Amino acid sequence: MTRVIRCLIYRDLLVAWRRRSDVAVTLLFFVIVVSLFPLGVGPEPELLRQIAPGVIWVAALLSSLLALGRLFEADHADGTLEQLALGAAPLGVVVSAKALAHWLVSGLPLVAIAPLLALQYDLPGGLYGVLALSLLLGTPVLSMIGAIGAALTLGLRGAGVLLALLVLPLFVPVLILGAGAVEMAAAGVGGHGQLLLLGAMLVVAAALAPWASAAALRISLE
Amino acid sequence: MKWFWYASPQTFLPLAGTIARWCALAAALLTAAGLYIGFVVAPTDAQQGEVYRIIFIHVPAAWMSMFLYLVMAFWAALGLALNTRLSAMMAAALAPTGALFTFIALWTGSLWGKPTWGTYWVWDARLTSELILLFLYLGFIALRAAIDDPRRADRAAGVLAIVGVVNVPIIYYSVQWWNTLHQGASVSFTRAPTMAATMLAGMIVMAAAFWMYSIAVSLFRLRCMIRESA
Amino acid sequence: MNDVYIWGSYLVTFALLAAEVALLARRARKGK
Repeated sequence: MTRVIRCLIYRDLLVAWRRRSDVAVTLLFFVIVVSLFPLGVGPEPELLRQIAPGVIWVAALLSSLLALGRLFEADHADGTLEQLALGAAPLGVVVSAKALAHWLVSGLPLVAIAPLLALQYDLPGGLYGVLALSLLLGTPVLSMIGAIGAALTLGLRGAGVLLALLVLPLFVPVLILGAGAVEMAAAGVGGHGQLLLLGAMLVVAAALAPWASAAALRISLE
Repeated sequence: MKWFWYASPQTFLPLAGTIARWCALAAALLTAAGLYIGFVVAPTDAQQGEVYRIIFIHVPAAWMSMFLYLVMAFWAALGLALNTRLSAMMAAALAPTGALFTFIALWTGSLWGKPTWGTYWVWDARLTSELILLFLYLGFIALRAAIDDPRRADRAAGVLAIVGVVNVPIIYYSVQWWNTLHQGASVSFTRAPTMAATMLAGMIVMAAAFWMYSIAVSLFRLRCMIRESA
Repeated sequence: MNDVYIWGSYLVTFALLAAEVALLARRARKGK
């Protein structure tokens, strides 16, 4: 089983490496969106410090959303997905592996870059850790819940926008907790509650979401 | 097993019609009774005056919006588990009505909020959760519409409905937590004064009216869907 | 003054419900 998972992850990472530009584009989108808000709301430092966690988190949400389109698309196009579904490994495990690889490529970089972007907002020093940790816990949840949406909309016309409509309401709790953790830390209360809840969400999503994604994939592939 | 006898869409068609007609009649009568209680029997509120009477639409609509989502998810789950087409069709038939009541709840809540809270909208836990519920309904409808194959549409939307239903309590509690941590509950919709019996009666009668209406309209829609798929 | 809110709520609600029924009736007629 672990061999299967390792193979799948390695393969997906290899494919992503060969299409580095796709990954880079998603990352660039994240950077641009975060940079747009100060242009829109004005450069006042206090305001920017206040909206920083929310803006960064929303941008992370949108970038994850964009990247989700790529999760199953390539494999579906060349028939690999059907082979995987017919194969010996449980589809839930396959989906988990793909979601993990997807997160490594589109979620983890966000975690790394976010503190740099937070500099633009003059986020107070002690909050960078909380920000990074909240994203570290939250972005995998986004990948896993998003995988359900990606599986449901596989191959449909207008799949990208439909995916957004389906998945963004489900992202809302993660957003609230993630941004909330940083905001609570900023208020001096400490973001531990939110971070713990995010961790709990991660565990539950890891347990349940692959099952739903696998069911959705089977429905889409018939 | 009587239930499986009616699992065939064609067999259910006439029964759906009968139930729908009776429920429509009940809805009309209950609405009349509810409006009578709401406007004639119920007294003027000490704090809010007459405008509180919006409650007779707002709360029943909100109850319906949540209840119908649960029922929709139930039928979707049944359709997935038993592989019965009619169950999935029932879920699809409920969705537009559910979405409509969600919108009505938001609209009437907004119009009630303006004279009482001074604003059309607040990011109260309930309002925000209700708004997201509307998006969940619309997502369900959109997904069904985007898939041409009826079988795939039924089952994909079914999965979505179930994922949504699991998420609704999570959304509600996370929003509630978000709201109470940020806003010192200056606005509290839940702190309604102990309700006069007549007000409560009016709300319950209107809720029953909306419920009968929902059954009638959903079954009517289901009949259209059955005829169209034949 | 507040009457506009009451009217706005009740009228829109029943208009929407009536519209839903009307649309369904039209759908039924087209089906037959």
